[in-house]
Amino acid sequence: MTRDTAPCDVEIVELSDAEASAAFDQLAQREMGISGDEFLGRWDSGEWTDADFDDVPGLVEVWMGLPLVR
Amino acid sequence: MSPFQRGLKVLDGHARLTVAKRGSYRKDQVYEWSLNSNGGMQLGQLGIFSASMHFEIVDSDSTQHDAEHQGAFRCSTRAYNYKLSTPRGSDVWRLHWHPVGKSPAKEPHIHLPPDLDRHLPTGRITFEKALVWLIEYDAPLRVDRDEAVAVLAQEEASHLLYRTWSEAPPAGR
Repeated sequence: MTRDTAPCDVEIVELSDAEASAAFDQLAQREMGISGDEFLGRWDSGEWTDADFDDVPGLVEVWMGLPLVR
Repeated sequence: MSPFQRGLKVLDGHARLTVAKRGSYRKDQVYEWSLNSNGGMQLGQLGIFSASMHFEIVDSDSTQHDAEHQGAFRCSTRAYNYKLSTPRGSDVWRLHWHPVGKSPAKEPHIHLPPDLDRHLPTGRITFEKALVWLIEYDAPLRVDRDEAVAVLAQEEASHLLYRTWSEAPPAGR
């Protein structure tokens, strides 16, 4: 984890790959009640391809986190 | 992310901007930054402010920027999600731009209670503007209100000057 606190005390934190993966898993668990791996599998299978993102609780939040792992 | 860092400094709460650059920053790769690793920022009794943004590294057009803002590359926003929730978990507002999926609203929009299913078009909302909204909701501040608004206006100014769209994104985004 790399930190950049200058010039103010709001940090910019660069996550390692392992930390990013853990953060994504935590996000999927919290927002959709599934693991990060399960989300990725269902995403890759096209489960939400035709979905209105706003109609699926938590989907916008977890989709926003996809660049953590991809 | 420095402008966001400076903007967040006006709020009284724990904030860190987290990003996974996965090696090194490169073009044609979408990155996400989020507030407290997508956990949101506790703002006293007001509630929790959550924020995340997708961005890409793109070539910068030197003819479009003044001497102070020259550089080979710049960041271009690809999506955002800002949300204020009460301490009990009810959403006060959700500011979205997620130009993927089958949503009827591929342009920036807001969801407001009581009918959070509606997509109300907003045009592009800057992160700094979302922070100003928090001030309107009496978010706890580290500086006085006028100074906070002035700081955010200053941080927003460069973005407003150089951004490539304001109402609806260009085709293909």
